[in-house]
Amino acid sequence: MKKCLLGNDGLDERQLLLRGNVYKHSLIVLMALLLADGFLKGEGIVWAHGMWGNILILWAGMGVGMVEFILRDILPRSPRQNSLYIMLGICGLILLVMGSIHIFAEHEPLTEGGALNTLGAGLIQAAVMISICLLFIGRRLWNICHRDEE
Amino acid sequence: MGKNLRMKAARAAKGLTQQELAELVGVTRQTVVAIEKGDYNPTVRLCVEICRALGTTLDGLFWPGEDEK
Repeated sequence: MKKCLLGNDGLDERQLLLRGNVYKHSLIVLMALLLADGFLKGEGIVWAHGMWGNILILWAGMGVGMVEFILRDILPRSPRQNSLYIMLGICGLILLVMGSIHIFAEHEPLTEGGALNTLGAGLIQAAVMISICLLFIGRRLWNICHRDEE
Repeated sequence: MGKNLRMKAARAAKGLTQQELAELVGVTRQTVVAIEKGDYNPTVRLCVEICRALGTTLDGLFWPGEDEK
């Protein structure tokens, strides 16, 4: 007799509660970074060229949420959701390789006028994507190793 | 909230692992771990399911004893 207290996405009540908190944390980080960015822009300080400032802020907010999802074990159990993290790592790796080619073969700088350019911001984005993927794989392995632990 | 040793004892008495109990009540193993550790306060619905699976009562598992009040 198997009870089903899981939602459609395979999450139980504790996980749904924790996910609500994660969204709050992501939103707080996003708001704090947007405020800091607005303050810096008001002072005439540009830390990333073009749209990259906003994209990196979005990644920071999403990254906090994704890391918390992984560390607290509140990922949906569907294979489709899990493959998203692997795809993220593959995309990050491609970005990292492309960026490295630009740095080592064409000697392009990571910053221009003290602000991150496309290459610098792209590499930071790649690092975030790869880190999230590695954390996901590590957590999965840790869970497998500690499956029978009481 | 302290550890729920009574739930752990009842589960052990039934010869169930945390994973098996989790599957019986339809939650994840981590949730069973969190309840036993006292890190998570389950809803009444989940408490009832756990009691049914372990063949005990809500009082027996979740009502605080004199030393826990």
